[in-house]
Amino acid sequence: MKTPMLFTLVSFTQLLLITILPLASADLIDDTCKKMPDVDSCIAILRSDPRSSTADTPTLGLISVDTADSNAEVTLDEIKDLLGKSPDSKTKQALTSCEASYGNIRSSLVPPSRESFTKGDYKFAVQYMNDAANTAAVCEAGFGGPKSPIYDANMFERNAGLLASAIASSLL
Amino acid sequence: MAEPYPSRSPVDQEDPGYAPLAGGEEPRDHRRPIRAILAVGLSVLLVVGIVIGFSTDTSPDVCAEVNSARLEPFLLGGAGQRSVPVKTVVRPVPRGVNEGVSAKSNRVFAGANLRGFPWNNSMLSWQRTAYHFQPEKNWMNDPNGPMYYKGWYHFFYQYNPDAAVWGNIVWGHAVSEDLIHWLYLPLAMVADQWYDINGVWSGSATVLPDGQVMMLYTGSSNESQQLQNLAYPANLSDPLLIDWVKHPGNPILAPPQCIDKLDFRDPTTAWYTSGGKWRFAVGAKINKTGVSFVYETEDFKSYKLLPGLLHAVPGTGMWECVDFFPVSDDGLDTSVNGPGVKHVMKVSLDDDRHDYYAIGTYNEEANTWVPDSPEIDVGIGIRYDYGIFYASKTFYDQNKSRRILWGWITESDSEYADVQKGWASLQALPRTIVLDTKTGSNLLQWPVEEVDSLRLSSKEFDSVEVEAGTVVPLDVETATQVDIVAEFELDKQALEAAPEADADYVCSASGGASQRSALGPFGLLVLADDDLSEQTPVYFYVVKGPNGTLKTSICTDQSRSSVATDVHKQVYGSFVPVLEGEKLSLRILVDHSIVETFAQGGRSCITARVYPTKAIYGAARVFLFNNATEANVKASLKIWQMNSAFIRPYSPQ
Repeated sequence: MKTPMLFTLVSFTQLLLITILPLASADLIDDTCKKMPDVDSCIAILRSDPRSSTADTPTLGLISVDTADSNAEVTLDEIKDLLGKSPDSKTKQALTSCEASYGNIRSSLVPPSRESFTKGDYKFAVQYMNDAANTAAVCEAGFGGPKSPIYDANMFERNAGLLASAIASSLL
Repeated sequence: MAEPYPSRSPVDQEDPGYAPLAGGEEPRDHRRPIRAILAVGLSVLLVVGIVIGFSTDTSPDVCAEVNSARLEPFLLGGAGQRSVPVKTVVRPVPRGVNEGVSAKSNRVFAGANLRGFPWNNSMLSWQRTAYHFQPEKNWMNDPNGPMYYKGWYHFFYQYNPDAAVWGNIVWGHAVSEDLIHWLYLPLAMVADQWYDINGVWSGSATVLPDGQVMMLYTGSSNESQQLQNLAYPANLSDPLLIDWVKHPGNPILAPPQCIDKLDFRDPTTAWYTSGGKWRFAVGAKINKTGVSFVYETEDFKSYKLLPGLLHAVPGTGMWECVDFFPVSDDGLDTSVNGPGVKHVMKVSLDDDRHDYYAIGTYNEEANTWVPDSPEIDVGIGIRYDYGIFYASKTFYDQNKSRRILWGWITESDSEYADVQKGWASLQALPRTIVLDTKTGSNLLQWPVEEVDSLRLSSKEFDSVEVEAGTVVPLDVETATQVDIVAEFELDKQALEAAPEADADYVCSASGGASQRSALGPFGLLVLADDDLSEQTPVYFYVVKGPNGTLKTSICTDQSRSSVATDVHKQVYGSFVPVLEGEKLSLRILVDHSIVETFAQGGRSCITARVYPTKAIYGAARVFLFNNATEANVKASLKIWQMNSAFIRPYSPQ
């Protein structure tokens, strides 16, 4: 007679934990995002990643860095495509410059930012991810017009970079 | 590596986190005994886990103290829960390019022109310094374990062997006989143990009276926990101390129970107490209160966490690179103590990347330090340097009985340029530190006297009149490696006639050298080209306060130092005490992309990084300038050309 009760107790505890944990982290996303300059962008970026439901704050930061990295990867492909379509010389110059700077985001800004979040020396992610955001803004400005052919990509990169930087800042 | 990323077009999303869960109905099962065993086993594991968790608490005293009423007001509780409505759009609506970057950005771009500058190799290679310590390539940060040992000054540093950005940190090593002519040695420590596999982080050297060297340092472990470790030279009779051994008993310290495993690092040099034990400090934080713990050891084999905290200051955040040492008008060994001896507490604040110090009194028995002036306590008062200067560390030089300060000077340009040029970061020139006995309330820093040995030819300018609103060229050869010592005197009539200012002057909030008033700014323009299209003003700004008192600021203005837009454009500086009868005095050391300024004998210091594109090589000049509206200024100065230190790899003769 004791066994079914014990089993029910353990099962109930398990269920309770399974129910509470994601809710606890969902509250963490809300808590984190409400401190951010762009709340909507923060929530959209974080909730898009399945890891976020059980993530702690440094992991939310890592998710933002990964978002910046994935977006940079996709953007590099888009740039390559656009360059292959024989654009005019001004656009070509801007695209080439963006290609170099997005490559730099992936090779030089993302790795130390990841290391910064996983190892707890957050000030480096604050700086490097802020610079990734700036890089996207500079890339956009390089086209000269109101909206470049990679406007969405640049805005997304800027938001991901600013989010990662702000999360790192909140951990200092 | 990167998983395929969700499309950026709006997508209807259901958040799995909020989906209601199915009820917990258990299927009937005939294997009841196994289920019972499993259930009991799991519960036992749970209980055992909880017991282990509580029993690894090795520091109940300290953490109890930490949770006591003394710190309670400063330990902020969590904010109330409030849920935010979830939008279904994945890609957020952009707000526009030129809205600017986040408020916490430490990057200041000129106007709305955000273009990256097309740096070429000539401009980039000019940026390398001639007589400041920097490795041959790649990234450097904190100074580590500086010491004097058997005829050599040793310098270690945080180093990335793989890139010109931070990461993969190991210990670089260099030696010098005179703190100037450095010779690179092989890496002293690499990340090869589980307890430092994720980073061989900062630490300090303690030289024992019997000649042993104890190097305490922080390792980032395989689980990213910050642990303290011990290393020592493999061979004490090798004066170059090339090989190092990690103590088999490492790690020696884990974070106290109330401290996060990521907030515990940078052990200091140890000091010897009257009780015959060695003590050292480690910085940490509790919520937003920066704190310092103290450990005690007799033999560097077993360690005891002392109860209480050496010191804590609410609101200052994580305390990195804590330094703790006695001061007087002369250098003092780290272990000196006694009635009337003042101790300096110094912290590097993670929150704002600045180094702060305060002067106070150490009570060895109570293991506490108390600032002389709590309103300028450590972290909220005086800084070592009002420009770029972080993670600094002092050591006692027994060779010349002086205390010497090292500081990490990071770049103020873009990482893209750093990667292009293949390196990032410098060390400041080593500085002596003494107590300013004239004011009693601040330290004096001055480049070590060995810097003077780099001086080559010089030119002297005596009593040059610089009228209000004028610029005077100084006829020296090219001015990319110079040492300038200058004195200024303001016209007495203008001083008396000047009106009282309605507000304090703050360098960083000012318009820099182009913001004029009756009594300033005036000083020097360094790394300036002939038509002043690029210039770095270093200047005094004097305002009259109530009762005719004068308040002087010293500033370095980066805003027009380069036509490039992807470099910092800030004005650094601070108020500097000027005592009765003192002239305004400056020493400026220019070494390519670094400008180090010392005002009033080192009462206020400013280190700036500048990246001119035109005022480089033979085109770099020096000017006197006076942008005041009323006062004329008389300047006397001497300018030396500085030799290179020829920093290179060590090779046996």
